[in-house]
Amino acid sequence: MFRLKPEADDWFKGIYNRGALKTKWDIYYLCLMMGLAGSKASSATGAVDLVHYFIEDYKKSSRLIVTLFLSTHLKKLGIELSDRLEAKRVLDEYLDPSNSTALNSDGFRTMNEYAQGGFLLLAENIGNRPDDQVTFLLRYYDLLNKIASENPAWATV
Amino acid sequence: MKIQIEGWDSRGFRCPDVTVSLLVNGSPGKVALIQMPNGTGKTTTLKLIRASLTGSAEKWSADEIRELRSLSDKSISQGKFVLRLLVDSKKLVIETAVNFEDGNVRYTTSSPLLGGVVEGWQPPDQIKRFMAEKFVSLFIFDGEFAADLLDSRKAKATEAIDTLSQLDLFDLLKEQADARWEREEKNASGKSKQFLAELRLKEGKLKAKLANLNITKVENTNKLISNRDRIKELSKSLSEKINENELLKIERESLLNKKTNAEIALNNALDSFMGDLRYPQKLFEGFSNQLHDFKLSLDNAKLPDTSSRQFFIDLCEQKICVCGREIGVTERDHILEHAENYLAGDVSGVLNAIKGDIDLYVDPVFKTDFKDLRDVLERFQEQYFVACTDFAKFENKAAKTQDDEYDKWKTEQINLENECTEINRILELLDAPYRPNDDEGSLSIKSIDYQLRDTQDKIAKVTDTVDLRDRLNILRDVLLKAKELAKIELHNQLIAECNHRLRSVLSQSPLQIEGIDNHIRLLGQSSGSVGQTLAVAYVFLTAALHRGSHQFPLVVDSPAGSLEKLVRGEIGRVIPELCEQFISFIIDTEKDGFVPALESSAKNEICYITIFRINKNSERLLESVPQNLKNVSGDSAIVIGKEFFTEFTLAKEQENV
Repeated sequence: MFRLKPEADDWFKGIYNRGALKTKWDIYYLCLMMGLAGSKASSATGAVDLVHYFIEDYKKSSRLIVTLFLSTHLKKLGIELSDRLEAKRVLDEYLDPSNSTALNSDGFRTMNEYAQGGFLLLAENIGNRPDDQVTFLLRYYDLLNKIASENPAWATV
Repeated sequence: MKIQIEGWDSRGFRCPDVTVSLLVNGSPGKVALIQMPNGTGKTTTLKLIRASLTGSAEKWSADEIRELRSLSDKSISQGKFVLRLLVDSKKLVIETAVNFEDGNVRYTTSSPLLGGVVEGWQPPDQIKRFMAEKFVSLFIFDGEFAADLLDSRKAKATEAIDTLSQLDLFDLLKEQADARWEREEKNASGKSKQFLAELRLKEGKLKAKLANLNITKVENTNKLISNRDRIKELSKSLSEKINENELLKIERESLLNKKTNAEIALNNALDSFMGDLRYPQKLFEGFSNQLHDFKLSLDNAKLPDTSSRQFFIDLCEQKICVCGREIGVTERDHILEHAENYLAGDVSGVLNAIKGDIDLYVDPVFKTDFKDLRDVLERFQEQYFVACTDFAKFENKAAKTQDDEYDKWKTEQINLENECTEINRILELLDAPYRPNDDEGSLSIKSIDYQLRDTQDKIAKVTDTVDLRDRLNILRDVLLKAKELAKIELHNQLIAECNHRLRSVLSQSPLQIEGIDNHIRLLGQSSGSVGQTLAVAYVFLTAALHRGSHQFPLVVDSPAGSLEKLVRGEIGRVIPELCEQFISFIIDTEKDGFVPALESSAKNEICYITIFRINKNSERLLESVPQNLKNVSGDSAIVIGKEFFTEFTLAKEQENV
């Protein structure tokens, strides 16, 4: 289950549910990408259920999102895909092909931790809660590129 | 359930001593028109009818009771009002007896449903719930109430739906569930009396706080809706003022167009930006590269395997290998051990799908299109800001050429906007999520609710009522959700039904209901004319009243007073279709247009009654009325019949002087 902490919900309240940011999954995605950009994961204990599937707007990009999450996480763990045995172990650990998201419970949990990590980065760098979608999204894009560029994990990519 | 009024007797009050029968051919007529000139005691009559239906006279003060004493005979010490009803064709009589000297009220109720006469206000249980004051005020009302339904400051529409649809029964059930647990846990003895006492004290405080916060939320939400409506009205009035000057009007329209176009362009750019942002490979070059690297690494590691783990597991079931050699115990163990090195077949499927999507959606070389979209978005945002600033500058310039009224409206608008900001701040605090370090001082409803549930859970544990508590919690959640869903569904059904009826009622000037927040919101306008308002209110109330299988009489004071003649006709025609019994207290100036229309629709089912004070001037009017159609009692007279009803006007009364 994709989950987000209530404080993230609260923080995005001024710009969520209208215009271009129609769903909570949009909020989750923005947090997740920021978490992956900064390779930052944080405990998501107390997070509230969103949905257990990718919503329509993300159907086409769903596998790319899962892949980016997996590859970022493998890199963080120092696992090279060329190490076949280790790669297989980790893939088995996070994937559940019978689930429409391809994630198992550990996969969901870990992805939720990156989303929470991303939220913390946003709150820390943007500060006040956003109240204008356009201003926020422009800042978001710039911040993500800045954080990712400064993250050594992305330097070699 | 069908409630009808047969009539009433009144003795000793400010209203005339009369016996009123609303029967036509032995049963209550579809329409009863009661003509009473102003000052005849119409208000007193309506007050007594309401008190009979609700039992509210028991709450009257002695002074209030004395106020009702007959004006013509100050020595009279007692008054009696008898209301005759039919409940599903069975008689129900409620007698209200007052003692003007002592200031006391005594009710008597009689009905075959009660087995005879009983002391007190005791209507049968099946109709008691429809006789609450809030409920009765929805079928006995005046034009002012109708207007309140469309006034965002009064919040009457949702109140009416809640009452008429008996949605408060959900709250009642919830209260009963809470009361049940409270009884159980109070009877249970706790392990630690002091600890239990502390928990109960905390529970009480949290309950009171939660109730207060909920009230604050409703009040602020209503205030916000009402302020926003007023701001809209003021904006319209301010624009109209500026538009009075042709030059300013042209400049304003030009700037407003620029602002609107800039906003549309900005929104389109935002949609494109957000649409692309949902693809991670477009966000950052490293993301795109990493997706390619991932695929490349899978290829290099020969993942997914061409054979799946299941193939080797299945192979071990065979005696002969695919290469033709025999599979013995050693070979089987070896194959099984190394099968673990292969991915499960379905995981292989996922990896293949991932590789396919990377090929399909991720460009081999990172494109900077998304960065371009970002820049376009920023440029449109700047253009929008400029258009907004230009418009604001124009408004300031135009304001300087306006009169005091404009300044007054502008000041009111600014004050209301500031008030809205403050209300939004309060609502945000009230809607804030629960945070683990919150205490009883929190202003968040969710937090106080969480703390209350937590405290009740602790009480349940101490008193061994956990199971009951859990079940009641589920019931509480179900009731809350059911009420919420029922409300939404009722609103939608009512809006559809009302709009259907309105197309017929206001055929000349169509008006539609857009929504029901706390008041009835009209489509495309903040308010209708007085006539339209009343028409919408009639349609709304009758549609709401007659949902389900219930029928109530509609008793309206001055139903057509504020209507234009054309609308009077339309309303008059449709009322008999809206309800089973329509009782109208009317003055002679309202008859024109309204009564003929009622007659054309209700045909022969109309009961005409004229009640007036007898004085030297009106005595001659009565002379021509046949004895069987009139009744004179003290200083008042009641005349039955269409002819007198139609002819009776205050002017004629004057002519006869």
